[in-house]
Order: sequence, then structure tokens, then C-alpha cells
Amino acid sequence: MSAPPGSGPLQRPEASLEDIRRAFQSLTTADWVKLDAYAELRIRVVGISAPGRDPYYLFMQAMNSLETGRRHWYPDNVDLVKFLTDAMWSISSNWARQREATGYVQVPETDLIRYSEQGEELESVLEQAQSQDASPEEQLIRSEFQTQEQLVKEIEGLFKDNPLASLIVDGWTARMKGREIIEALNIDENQYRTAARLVRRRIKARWPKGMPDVR
Amino acid sequence: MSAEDDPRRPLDGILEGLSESVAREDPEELLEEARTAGQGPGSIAQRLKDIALAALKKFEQRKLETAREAYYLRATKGPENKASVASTPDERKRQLSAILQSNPEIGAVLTAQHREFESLSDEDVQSALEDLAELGFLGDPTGTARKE
Repeated sequence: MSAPPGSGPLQRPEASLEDIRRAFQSLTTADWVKLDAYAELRIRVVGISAPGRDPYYLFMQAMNSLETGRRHWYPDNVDLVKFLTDAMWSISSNWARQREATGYVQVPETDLIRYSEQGEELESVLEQAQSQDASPEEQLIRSEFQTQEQLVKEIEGLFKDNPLASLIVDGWTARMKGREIIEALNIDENQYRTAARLVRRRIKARWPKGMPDVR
Repeated sequence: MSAEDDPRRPLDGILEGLSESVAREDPEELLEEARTAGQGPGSIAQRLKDIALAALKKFEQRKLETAREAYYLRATKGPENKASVASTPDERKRQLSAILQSNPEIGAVLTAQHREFESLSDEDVQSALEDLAELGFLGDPTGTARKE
């Protein structure tokens, strides 16, 4: 069995539960907001109308993976926020791949544990999502949603007055990474970040409660 | 339908791009964005923090439970029980006989396996006593099993 990445002899040890607790206690409001914003977007990547979608659930899975040893956190290599965003990326990407292959998300047994704020185990997302078939009422509601193409057009329309933001959104729709877009447009990191902020802010202003469901 | 024709791909791309931009963003900037959007960053942070701390508490409880089980197993398989198996073949046979007299149901199982008590080899006796020790029969002078 190979050792986890970063576990060489000169490596400081993996974080203990106490290290993790201390790290959580020291997170700022801004750090928590970042984790929340990231979880919200990643759960939408899984499926914009996936049943039982819930950013808190995704966050819990990242925490569970830490506890069960499926992922290892070495605080000297990466901070807790980065560790958790990487974990959420990995988990949600797996779910998204499953959705592409099968049309729905099969959450593994090991990912089912979920807690209330009081530490009680809650009904799992899988239990919530067990019925793959939408009820007639749900089907009626879904039929009134705009299509994914319509939503993309609407998003693109928000940046017609800003060529750089518009090009960045074009890059995203072509599945380019930030680094690739920066290179292709010959811009620097700051220019990219500034334009990406504008994109996020306009999307948030257009849909303050989150992007709409689509069919 | 090929992956390239999937109507989700452009939308997925936008969502991937947005999430990547959040991952590389300064948290203070995201805090400001949340404030501007009137999202109540304090309550967002508190909710996530409560979930994280509740989960940590649960992890700690599970660790405690695991440690307790490990301690219990060590205690029941510990040196005191091994020591309580008699040291010579004759003593072991007498010890087993005493337990079987107090617990005829065990005698029935044992003789079903080995036909006759007298025909048990010393190895059989030793093995039976070790099994009974694990079940707690040897820790009690009356030769009855430990009550849970």
C-alpha cells in the first residue's frame, strides 16, 4: 500500500482531531463564507436540479472523508480551507461524473452520514433522493423552468458591455480552466480575478437567491 | 449523444469556472460580495461552523467508543484470563470438568464435538479452556459466564 501524499520521513504528521478542532475555531467569518460559496457552486455542478442538493451535505462529506481517513490533511502543506475546497471539488466531481454516466447521483454508503447542528444524525440525501421519478406535480413545476441553453444565454447576456468578462464566460463554457484562459487572453492573474469578480457579482445581483433551476 | 453534444456542458462549464474563481479568491473579497448581496455572512458562517463542530464532536464520540471497545477486548483477552488456565494437563482437565459440571449445556456441545470427555487430548482441553476464558467462564470461581 502506498503512503498518502506528503507523508515522507521529513513530513510533519497528519493533523490530529485536536489540530482540526483548533483550525476550525480559528477560521474567520470570511473563511466560512468562502467554504459556503464554494459548496453552493459545487453542488450546482453536480446537477442543477439534482434531488436533495444541499451545499451543507457536500461540506459534511468533506469532513467525513477527513475522519474516515479517505483524505489526509497535512497542515504544513495546505491550510484547512484549501483542504476542504479540494475535498469538496473531488467529491462533487465524482458525483457529477456519475450523473453524466447514469443520469443520477448514487451516493456511496460511506458518504451518507449527516448531522444536525446538534450532532444528531439526519435523513440522508440518498433517502431524500430515492425516488428517481418526479411526481406529476414536480414534472409540472419543472416544465416551467427555463432550459439550460436559455440560462446560459441569459448569463452571457449579462456581460455584453464588458468584453473581458464576456470572453472569460466564453472560456468557461468551452470548459477552459482559469490558467488556460489567462494564457489564451494574455492577461495577468489580477485582471482575471477582477473580471471574474464582476461575473460573480452580476450573477449574484441577477439571482440573489441563487441561479434558477433549469430543465 | 456524445459528451460534446451534452446540453449541460456550457452550463457546467460556467459553474466550474465560477467555483474555480471562488477557490482562488481572497476570502475577504467573498465576504464583501456576500455583504453586498445582503446574504448575512454572520449567519452563513455560524451555520457552517455549527455543523462542523457538531461533526467533530461526533467524531470524538466515535473515537471514544472505539477506544472503549479496544480496552474491553484487551481486558477480556488479558493476561489474567490466560493465567487462570491451569498450568498442568491434569489440573486443566479438572478445571474443565468443574466448569462442565456447573454448565452442562457446554458439556453437551463439547462432547458433541469430541464424543467423550475422557477422550479429549490435552490440546483439546487447553483450547476449550482458552475459549471459555474468552467467554468469561474462568474469571468467576463459580465457573459461570460473565454477565454483560
